[in-house]
Amino acid sequence: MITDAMTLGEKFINSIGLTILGMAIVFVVLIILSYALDLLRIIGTDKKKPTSSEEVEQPTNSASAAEVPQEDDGEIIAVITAAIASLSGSSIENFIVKSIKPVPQKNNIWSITGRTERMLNRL
Amino acid sequence: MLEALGLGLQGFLESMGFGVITIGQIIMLLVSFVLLYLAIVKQFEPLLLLPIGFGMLLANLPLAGLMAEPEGVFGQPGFQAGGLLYYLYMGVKLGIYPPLIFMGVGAMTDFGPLIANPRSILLGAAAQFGIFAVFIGAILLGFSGPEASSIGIIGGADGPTAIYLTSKLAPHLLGPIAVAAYSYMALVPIIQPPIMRALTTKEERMTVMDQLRPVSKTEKVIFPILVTVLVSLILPSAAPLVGMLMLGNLLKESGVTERLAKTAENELMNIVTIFLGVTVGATANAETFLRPQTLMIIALGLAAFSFGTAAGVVLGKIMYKTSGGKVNPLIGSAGVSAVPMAARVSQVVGQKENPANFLLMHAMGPNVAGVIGSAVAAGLLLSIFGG
Repeated sequence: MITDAMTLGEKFINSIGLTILGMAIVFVVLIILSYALDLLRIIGTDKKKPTSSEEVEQPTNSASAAEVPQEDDGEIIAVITAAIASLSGSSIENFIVKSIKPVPQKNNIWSITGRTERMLNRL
Repeated sequence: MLEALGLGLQGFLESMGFGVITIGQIIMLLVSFVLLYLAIVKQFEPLLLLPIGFGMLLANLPLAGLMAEPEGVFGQPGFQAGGLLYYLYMGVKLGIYPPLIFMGVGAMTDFGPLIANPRSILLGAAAQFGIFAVFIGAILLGFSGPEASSIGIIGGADGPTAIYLTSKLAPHLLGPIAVAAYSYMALVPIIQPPIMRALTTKEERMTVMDQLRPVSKTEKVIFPILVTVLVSLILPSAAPLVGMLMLGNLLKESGVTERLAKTAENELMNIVTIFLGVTVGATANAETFLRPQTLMIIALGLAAFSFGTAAGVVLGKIMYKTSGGKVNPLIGSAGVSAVPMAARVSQVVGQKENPANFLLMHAMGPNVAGVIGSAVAAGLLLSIFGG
């Protein structure tokens, strides 16, 4: 490997060899992991339950947009509902989440600006 | 009476540190003040730089003996116990603290983005190039193999890994390496963007990536077990770091050990961080710190970060080409660990070009892969030079 007895040239050659070996091993280990993860995807994916027509029972007095559960996404519905409640300052009793659709983000430049600023502040 | 007073005063004056403090110690105290300033005012990784700075302060006070080694044999007459920090330092010297911190990191990390996009793990491998590139540089500057490895690992951008490897290979360089590693981690948002912009075109930076698929709980539970088994079998010397990282993650993802996961990521990690920071700082004394080597280490550390970032972005570009423009090369720079700072940098740089682009979750994949990658690189260097 690398000893004090070597000339600078020998050290240089050996350290390049070690670099190639090192990067190769790091890559091999992570490539193996990467393919193992593909395998994981096959064995580990939860069996999707058929689309549940779980009606979200909620009182009247609608105010905001949001949601028809295409899949069983109770958690996401709850989070979005809570976010609306928190942003609008109203209680969740006061509105019904009817549908949740992804909106193309280009539309609302103000909210994007707001988010960008928040990200920048966190840095 | 006046004479006795004079003698007493003289004895007291002689017991004070002022009379015996060396120039080296004074300079070290000033260095520790600078670190404390950076931690408190500039908020550079304060959770670590503050304990490191204060440890340096404590260890360089004359006569206080906080790092003093014990004298004599325990239980025998004449035994003199060592200093407080000497005993706490055993956790660094014996390689105990960094894996414990890794357990906390594991309990805080969501590997979901990585599981959802397994190819992004390669970006975490490419960014380790900084470690080896600087290894060559350090060898050419006259450092020995183990020393050069420890300096290179700064480019892994992972504090616990750097400290772990250095404590095993070149403990005398622990002070400068820890300071360099944590300072540069704090400077990631300044170091990375110019490199990222220089290596990519505007069009590449504007690439919008497909949304990540949802990851099932089963996958998240199997993942840490799978990684531990695979990595430890391939590279046993990486097992302490990777194993504890994955233990922490399993505590979190299993859903049945919430209390343990909370302890690992909060109380335990905080306690260990204090011990680690103070004692690593305390290893920096004038004889080892005030040398031209320290400046070289700091310069090489910066080079390691830059090379790692560049290599990640270059592989990102290759993936952009091979995927037909589906991968934004900016997420490559997140392959240097520094979680989650490096991923945020990808997000911010990407958003400057295309405000509607959200790369954060895509960048988290390479980012957490970088943690595994640098632990693998450390294990590799350890198996080569640790013998």
